[in-house]
Order: sequence, then structure tokens, then C-alpha cells
Amino acid sequence: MSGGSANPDEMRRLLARVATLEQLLEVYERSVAEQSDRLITERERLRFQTALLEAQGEATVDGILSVSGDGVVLFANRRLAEMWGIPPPRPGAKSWETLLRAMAARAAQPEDFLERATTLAAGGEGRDEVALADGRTFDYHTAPILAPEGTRLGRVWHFRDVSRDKEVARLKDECISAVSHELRTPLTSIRAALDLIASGTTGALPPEAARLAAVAQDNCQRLGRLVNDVLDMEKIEAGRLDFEVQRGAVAPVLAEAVESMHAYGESLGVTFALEIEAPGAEAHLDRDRLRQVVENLLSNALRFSPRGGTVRVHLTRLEDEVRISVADEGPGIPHELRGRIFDRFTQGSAPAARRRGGSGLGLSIARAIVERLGGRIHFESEPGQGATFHVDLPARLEARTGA
Amino acid sequence: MSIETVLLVDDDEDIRTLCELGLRRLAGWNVVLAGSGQEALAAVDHARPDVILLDVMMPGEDGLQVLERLRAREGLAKVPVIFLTAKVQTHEVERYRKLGAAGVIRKPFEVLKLPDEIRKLVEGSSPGPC
Repeated sequence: MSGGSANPDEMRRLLARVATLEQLLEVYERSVAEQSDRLITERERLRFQTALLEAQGEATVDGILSVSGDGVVLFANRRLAEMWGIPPPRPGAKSWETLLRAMAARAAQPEDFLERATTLAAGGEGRDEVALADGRTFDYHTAPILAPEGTRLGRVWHFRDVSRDKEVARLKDECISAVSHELRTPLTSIRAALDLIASGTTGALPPEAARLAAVAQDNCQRLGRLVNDVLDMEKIEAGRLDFEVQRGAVAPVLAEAVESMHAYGESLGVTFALEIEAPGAEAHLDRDRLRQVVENLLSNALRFSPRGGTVRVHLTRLEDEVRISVADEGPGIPHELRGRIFDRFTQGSAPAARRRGGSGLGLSIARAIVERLGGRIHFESEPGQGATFHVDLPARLEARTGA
Repeated sequence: MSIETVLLVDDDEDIRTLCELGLRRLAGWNVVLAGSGQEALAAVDHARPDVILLDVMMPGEDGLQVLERLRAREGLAKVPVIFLTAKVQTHEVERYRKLGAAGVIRKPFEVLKLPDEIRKLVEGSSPGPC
């Protein structure tokens, strides 16, 4: 600008410039206000998130501890200190090592717990159980805290007091065991009495009474098998099933098992074929227990066999193992049961299988025994083509993994 | 040797009833019953058994103690004694044999097979438990 008189062009340009600056200012002001709003919202959101995390961490019966990668406590709920009986960890303090040692001091086996927790801390997700010196048992679970791109930021630990669950499970097992024991004595007497009556030892029976006695005998035997299976399973789970492992020939055990199941097979119209390819094969075995395994497999095969069918029992030698195979001509194992065929109370839904009444424990018992003998049990089956169970037992002591 | 009289010692009354009936009817043997070691010792001289069936788990004196007391009696050292028990692990059976038992019959036993099992053990033809 120069002089007192304004150049109209200059004036217009200046006015336009002012208008532009005003608009810019307005935009800036709006932007600042928006930024400020956003910051306020963000702060609120963070406060909310913190409160939410805190509440979630406290509203549980589990003890929770989060630690950063370099051992700084990120979060610890009140329950953690309470259940372990340790001073409450302070968030922000680099106290992971101290905490771990304080917890280990409460364990029945401090060194074991330290070692196990340290191993778990170096891995991905994991869980274990720890017995405390005061008799309680904690189940604990740990998982890494991962950033979205996968970087490890730290680790979360969850501890749960499972002492009551354990106690309930123990009482349940004890109760089942006691009831089964109490059932066995009267069952033995009922069975003997029925045998004497049904055999005509006490005098000839009218035909209808003989039929009824046979039904009672059948069911008495079935109940006896169920009670024995339940007791065996209970002993296996408590680690109280005694084994007497010796080196011995396998073929005679198979012959005994087939012999003892012969009558049952006959009653179902199923025959056995004993195919001994390796008559001299020896393995480390407990004769009675191995016979129980084979009898369970035979009983299983019989129950799924069609009338007129054959159950094949085969003995062969593999490289370092002896293989016992039991093959039936039944419907095969349905796909949905394959993963849990050795679990307790998993039974094929074929009506025949249910009618013929297995205990649902035979295969679980067989697997537990075979594993104790250092062997392996597995099967092959195509739907509609029967099933073959294999028991592979180590032929040499060095190959054994078990006791 | 032929069996005429059996002494059965078991604290379970049902087992005594069933075995007595079974052995008498199936084998034609005379069966003398005792519910305890005490009763067995009181009955044995008069009964003069050819074989003694002895339950292992009994209240008071157990079967093993009763066996020792029976062996001490005059004229009873050679009478075969068979244990009735659910405990038939190899080391247990060896222990019974060392004590001088003729053998072991596993409980629960099948009553219809009982006479044959007893005969086999008495004749010493069976090396192990049935």
C-alpha cells in the first residue's frame, strides 16, 4: 500500500486475502477443537479400558498375574496374593523372580515347581498342576501376551485352587470302589447258587424254570464282569494294579484266552481262529494281565461279530516287537468314534453291541495294561469291513519304555 | 488217594452253605464246616479230613496262622491244605506253597468246577493256581 488513496484493485486483492485467511483460521480452529475432542474421548476410552481390565481381573476365583518380558509386574489381582499367601505384588515393580521364588516356597516340591514354571515361561501356552506344602493343589495355565504383529510383550499366569475338585474326585472313586467290593461278595454267592440250581445239581428243573435260571446266570455273569472292570479301572487310575513282569512265551497266553472265551463265543454263534505265525515269540509280560488284555479284545470282537462270523487271533514277530492281532468281521469302527475308542464308556452305537452288553471299560483297561507293559495298542478299520486291534509288545527289555 | 471227607474253613456262611451242598451233591464227599480257625481246630480231630479248604482272609486268626496250628497237630502234618483266596499273585502263591499248602483256589471260584480243582491239587498234578 502507498499514499492515502487506495488502488481499487489492490483493495480487492487485500479483501480477498483477508477472506481466505479467515477461512483458514476457521478450519484451523475446527481442527483444533476436533483434536481436543478426540483426545478427551481417547483419554476416556483408556480410563474405561483400564477400569474394565481391572474389574475383569478381579471378578474371578483365579489368581491372575501378568508380567512383561523383562520381569515387570503389569497386573496382579488380589486373589493371587491371597491364595498363595504372599505379599501383594506391586504393578510396575520388576519383581517376577522374587514372586516366583515366593510361590515356590509354598510348593510341596519347590525345586520342581521352579523348574516347571521356568520351562513353561519359555514356551507358548502351557499348563500344569502344583501341590502345595499345606495340602492344596493349584492348577495353573500360562500364555504369552502377543502384540498384533506377533512380538512377545510378556506373559499371563492363571492359578486355580482345584483342591476341592480333587477331593470330590477321590471320594467318588473311593465310593465306586467300596460299592463294587461290596457287590462282589453277594454276587459270588448268587452266581454259585444259580450255577448249582441251573446245572440240575439240586434236582432237575422244569423247562421254563431252566430258561429263567439261564437268564439269571447270564446277567449275573455280566454284572460280575462289570464290577471287576470297574474295580480294575479304579486300581489302574490309582496306580494300584500290581504287575509281575517276566519274560515269557506269548502263544500259550493267547491259547488260554481263546479257551476261556470259547463258551461265550459259542453262545453268540461266533468261532475263533488262532493263527500262530511265531510260536516261539517271547515278550516281557505279566501273564494274567496280558490274558486279560486279549480276553477284553476277544470279548469286544465277539460282541461286534455277526452270527456265523469268525474272530481271528494272530501272533507274529515284527523287528523288535511281538504283534498280537484280533480281527473281527463286524461293522467296523465308525469315524466319529476313532479318536476316543480307548476312552472309558465309548461304545459303538450298533444295537447288537448294546444288546450284548459290554462294560464300556474293556478297551480302556486293555490300553492301560499294554502301556504299563511298555507296548502299544492300536487298530485298523474300514466301515463295513470289520476291525483289527493290534497289541505290539517289546520283545527285548532295552526297547521297553515303561517300568 | 480218594477223598471222603473235606474240612471247609470260611467265615462267610453263604460260601460254607454253597460249598457244602456243591461238594456233597457233585462229588459225594462228606463236608465238615468251620467258621473260624478256632472251630476248625475243635472239629479236626473228630472229622479226620482227607483235605482241608482254608479261607485266607478271616477275622481273628487268618488262614496262614490256622495252617501253622493245624500242622502242629499230631496226624495232620500230611493232610493236604488248599487255600481259598482272591490273592493269587505269583509271589503270594509261592508263599502259600512254602508254608506247605498243596495249592490255591482263586476266589471267586466256580462251584461246579470245585471238585475237579480240589482233586487236581490233591493229586499234585496242577503246578499253579486255577
